[in-house]
Amino acid sequence: MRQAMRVYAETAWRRLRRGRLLWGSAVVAVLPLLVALIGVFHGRFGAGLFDESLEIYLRLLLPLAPVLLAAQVVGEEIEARTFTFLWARPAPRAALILGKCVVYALALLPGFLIGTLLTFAVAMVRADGADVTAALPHLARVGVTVLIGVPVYTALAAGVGTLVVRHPTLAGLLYVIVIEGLFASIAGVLKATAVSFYLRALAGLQFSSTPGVWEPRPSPVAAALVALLLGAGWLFLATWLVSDAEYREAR
Amino acid sequence: MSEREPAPTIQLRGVSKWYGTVAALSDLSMSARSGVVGLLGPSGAGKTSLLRILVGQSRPTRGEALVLGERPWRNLPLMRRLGYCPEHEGVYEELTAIEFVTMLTRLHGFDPAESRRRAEAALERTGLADTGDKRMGAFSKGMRQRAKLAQALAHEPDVLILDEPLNGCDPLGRAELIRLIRELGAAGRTILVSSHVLYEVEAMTGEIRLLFRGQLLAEGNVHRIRELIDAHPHRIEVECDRPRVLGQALLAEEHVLRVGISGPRLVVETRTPDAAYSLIAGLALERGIKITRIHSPDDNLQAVFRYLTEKREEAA
Repeated sequence: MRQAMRVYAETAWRRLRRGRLLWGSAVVAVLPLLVALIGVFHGRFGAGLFDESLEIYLRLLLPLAPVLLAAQVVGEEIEARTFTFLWARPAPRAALILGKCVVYALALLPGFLIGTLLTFAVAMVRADGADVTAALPHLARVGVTVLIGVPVYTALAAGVGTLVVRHPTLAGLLYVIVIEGLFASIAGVLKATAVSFYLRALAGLQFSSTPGVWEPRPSPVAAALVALLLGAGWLFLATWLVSDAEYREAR
Repeated sequence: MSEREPAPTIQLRGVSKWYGTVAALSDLSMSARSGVVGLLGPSGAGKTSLLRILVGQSRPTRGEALVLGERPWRNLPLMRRLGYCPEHEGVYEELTAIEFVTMLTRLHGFDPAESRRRAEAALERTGLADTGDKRMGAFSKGMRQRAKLAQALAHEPDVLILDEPLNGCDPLGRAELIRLIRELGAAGRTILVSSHVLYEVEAMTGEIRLLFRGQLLAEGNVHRIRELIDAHPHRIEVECDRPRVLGQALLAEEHVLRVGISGPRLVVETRTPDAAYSLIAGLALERGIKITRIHSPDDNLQAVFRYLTEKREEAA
């Protein structure tokens, strides 16, 4: 299993380096920087601006880039018919999912971490030293959120993409828009279905509260655990589906 | 005392495969031993469905398929001993041929250096040694076929399953691959090679299985099948400026069984096609008839299969 994962990971990395998708995802990863820059040009700065920039990050961009890369984890093999070569090998099919997910998550992480740091730097550019120092623990929590969020969303995208192999990217985008975008914004218990809800809790972002509507308020540790469990669940689903599926070549 | 015949490498017992309401294979039973065995059938005969079952990418809906005595579905140890060259052209376009074959060989458990050595040797065998470092996105159809064959060979499998391996190859490449497949068969491997072109299969082996609409129509020596086909009246269609004149002249000849006219086309039936072709050309020349097209629909494998199916139905 480990050797097969390594082979798939190396191949995925080689193909990623030679393709354009990696650059597209990297651009997505640094978009919050633009939000922060616009805020600075309008005379705003500080931890408030950093948090506002992070909103777009956690609700949309953080799920979006992994969808662009990882939703195709099996679909691209079916589309190109290359799965016929892979499935004729003495290697577990699950290794394809795991190997590719490791590479996609590792490929996305630097862009997101750098994007977070740059966004913080831009948001704090006019703040005084004391404010910056006070905001550093918050930055650390956001860093941890990104470290957990990227692999969790990669697993989620792989799971959704393996569930809907014929139109995986579209399915992934719909999931992100409906669950991570819409559900996460609606007051009430539906929020708990979105990974972004737990990541916001982990990052220490403010929750909007609606009077009379009960909403879960997980602690940062509980939020991290639930997010990781959700990612593991999606990954398990993807590997289970691919192991027993009988794929036909796309015509 | 005669020696016991070795067990078949490939064995199918009553295999059926359904895709929804469409039957790709229907109660198919056949076997194959070492050497090259040709799987011949027109498009849609069920060849690819059968090969996919044999390489463990598909499950039979009913019946049992065994390769080297084992069921292929989800059988990873068996995959070590199988090599598969699929029909389609799909490859990793961003990879070079050497990267492609090395990567797939590593999935057999070989270390990177050994995999690369095997990949280079396999690419050399299939005539791609000089282009191994070129990305496959720029490969011609024939070059892709060679790379695909190389990945099936690199781990030196006992059983090779080749789905239309000569598709898209130029005549020279075709001859080289035919020679390679014959060599591999002579070395004791079991090679099941599918094709819809009779003469291609004949060039590789004398042992064939005829598949039509998911059923085994005939099996055995290619010469026996040839005789069966040759016993069937051969149709020749001639398009010319005076089909009635040519038709009347042909009716008097002993090689001609029947003559019919359909518009500008003359349809001739014969049991001796070579003699009939010469006769038509000679008569046309003698009588100043201008022939614009001459062809035989019976050269089309579909017609041969239709004939064999009808024959079987009549016998039933």
